[in-house]
Formats: sequence, C-alpha cells, structure tokens
Amino acid sequence: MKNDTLFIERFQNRDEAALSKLYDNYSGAIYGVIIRMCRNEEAAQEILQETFMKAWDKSHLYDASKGKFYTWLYRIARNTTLNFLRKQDKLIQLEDLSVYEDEGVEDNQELHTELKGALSKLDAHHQKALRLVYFNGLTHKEAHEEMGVPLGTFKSYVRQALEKLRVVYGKELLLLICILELLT
Amino acid sequence: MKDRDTIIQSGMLEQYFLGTLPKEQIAALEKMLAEDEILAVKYSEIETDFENIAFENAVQPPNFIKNNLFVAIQDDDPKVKTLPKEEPPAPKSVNPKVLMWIAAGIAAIFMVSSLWMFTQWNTAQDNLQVTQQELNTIKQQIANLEGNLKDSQLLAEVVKDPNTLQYALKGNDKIPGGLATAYINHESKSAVVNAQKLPALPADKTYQMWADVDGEMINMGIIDKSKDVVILQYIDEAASLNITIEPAGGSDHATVAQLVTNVYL
Repeated sequence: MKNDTLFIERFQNRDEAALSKLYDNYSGAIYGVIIRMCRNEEAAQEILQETFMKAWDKSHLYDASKGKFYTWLYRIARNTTLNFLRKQDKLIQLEDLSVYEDEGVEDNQELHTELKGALSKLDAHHQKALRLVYFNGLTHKEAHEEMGVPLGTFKSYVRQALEKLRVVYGKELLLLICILELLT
Repeated sequence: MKDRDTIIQSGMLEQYFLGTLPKEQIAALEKMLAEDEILAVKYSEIETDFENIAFENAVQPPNFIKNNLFVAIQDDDPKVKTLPKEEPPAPKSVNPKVLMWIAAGIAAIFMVSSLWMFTQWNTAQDNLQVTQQELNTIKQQIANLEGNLKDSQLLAEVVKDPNTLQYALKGNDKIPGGLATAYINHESKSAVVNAQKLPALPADKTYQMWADVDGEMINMGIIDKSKDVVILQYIDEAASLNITIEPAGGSDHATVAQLVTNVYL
C-alpha cells in the first residue's frame, strides 16, 4: 500500500486535491466492499459517495495512531452500508417477501462481486469465513451461526485465513521487490 | 485485562478492525494497543491483510460518482456562504414588568382617547343644540316673513280694491300720536286694521276693536301688535269703529273708560 500520510494531512486540512488523490487511491477498494455487501449497484454508488462525504466532513476525527486510513474509511463504509440495508429490510418487511427470495449471498457475476486474488485461492471454509465478516457485514456471532460451526472454530477460521493470505502477500511482495531490483 | 496471546487468539483484533467489537471492550483494547508495541504490530498486520484483500477485490466505481462527490462537497463547503434566511424573530421571553407597563400605557391611551371622544361628543351636542336653535330662529323668521308677506299681500289686496273704504283712527289723550288705519269693504264684508302706529302696551294689556251697533259695542277682535295688518270680524250696520285698551286676552265687553280712539263710518 502507498504511504498517503502527506495526502491524509492535507485532506484533514480541507484540501480538495488531497481528497481527490485519496479517492483515486481508495475508492475501488471501498466500492468493492460496499457492492459486495449491499449487492445493489445503484445503492452502492450512492453509499460510496456518502462514505467519502462523511469522511470529508469528519476528517478531523481520523486518528492515525489508532489505525490505518483505510481501516477508518472501511468502517465508515461498512456502517453506512449496514444502515442502508437495515432501512431496506424494513421496507422489504412491508412489501412482498417472495420478490426477494432468490437473492442470496452467492457471488453475482453481473456485479463483478466474485472474489478475486489470493482470497479466491483459499480453502472454501476460510474463504467463506472472511467473506461473511468482511464482505457481508456479519458479526462473528452471526457468521459462525451462518457457517454452522462453534464461535471459537469460526474465529480460528478467520485468523488462519488471514495468516495464509499474509504468506501469499509476503511472497508476492518479495517477488515484486526482486523484480524491481532486477529492473534497476 | 486479557494478555496479548489471549487477545490474539480471541479474535478481538479482527473484530476491532471490522468494527464489531463490543463497545465496552474497545477502550481497553485501544489502551493495550497504545501500550503494547507487539500487539500493535499484530493489529497493523491484520489491517494490512484486510486492506490487501480489499485492493485485490477492488471494483472500479463509475467516474460520475467522483464528480458528484465534488459537486456535493462544494455545495456543502462552508467557504460558500449562504445568506441567512430571514426568519421571523424568535419569540423572546417578555419581562412581566414590561408587560404591565405596556398594559398601563394602553389603558392610559384608551382613557385619554375616551375623554377626548367624550369632550368631542359634548361639543358636538352643544353645536347641534345651537344649530337647532338657529334653525328654529330661522324657521321663525321665515314664518314671520311669510306672515308679513301674507299681511302685506292682504293689505295690498284690500287697499287696491276700489270698494274698500279707509278710516284713520287717531289716538286721544291716552295715546297721543297713536294712529290706526282701518280698511272696511262692505262688498266683500271684510275688515282689516293696520295698527303699526299704535304705541306699545304693557304685556298685561292689549288693544281690542269694537263696532258700535245701535249703541252696543260688538267685539271685532284683538289687535295683535306683533302683526302689521290684523284681520278683524266684519260687523254689519256698524255706526263707528272703536279701540279700547283691555286686559291681555281681551274682554267680552268694552271698557269704555279705556277708549283710545274711534271713527264714525
């Protein structure tokens, strides 16, 4: 990941050029999370805009000592999306439930929400565990019930999945460094 | 507080990243992250792992979202000052003393205006009364003028009639200089007297005219001094005309002792 410290400082000083740069850097990653979580392209677009609006309005609240900028942005996006979904649930309860029966948590080809990269190469249970908590917005408790495994086992799945990914990312990073060394 | 390994094994760091850690545990974990560098590094690794997943699974959003975002931000930018709306002033709490003064002021204004209106009303009443009196006076004057006109017309008619005989009744010692002129028309059997030159009498006295018929004084009527011309009762076969002074209202029988003038026909 890039070092955005300078841009983040300028962003916190209401520099629109810095916001533009940070949007360019993070919007794809954040939009990927949002669209997988809400599974609605139009809504995802609105939520993405709202996420950056909130980040802009509350930029003074970001504390780099407590975590990465991406983490802060992800939490805003996650909460905004979950609020949208809660409102949708209320509307659905008032309407015909059968209309929504076919919608599940499976990947949607049209929305390009299938998992990619190292995550897609993980074991199915590791992949699902991360997808439930990271892309579907479930809590650990909801997710272990969804997977039908004890909470402790589920937590292990998440931890193990991240460790495996870290190894893959470490190798990729090492490979990248080697390529860069060769190029120079 | 749990130790580092327990925290790592419990999945608290992942939950903290995801924002699903119970609120009551957040402060304690943040305190440990601030104090425990190894734990902080572990958490940073988890953040990076999730960030890597996100970047690997990134989906490029449409370009118009960025445009919309900047339009929205500029609309919302405090640099663009929007003029404050003119709102009606919020109702202020009014001091009861002020309210009392206002009430007293209104009451005073009401009293002064009432007094002024009462005065105006009285003045109007007085003016109306004066006007009415003037109107009555004018009416009276008109009536008098009308009376005078009738008298003059009557006198003119009597005088211009060739059958009218004119008699001058000169006053005796009781009314020296007094004169009355009688107009008798035997054809139309009318009798009129002009008593303008008879001297004025006290309020309790009046002139009365009599016709002497065979030695008897017949009443012809009271001479009203306020009129120039007085119509009297015509008496047939009168030998003379006589004027006496009688008590106000007239008498049934002539007071011969008060005879002031007479003329033979």
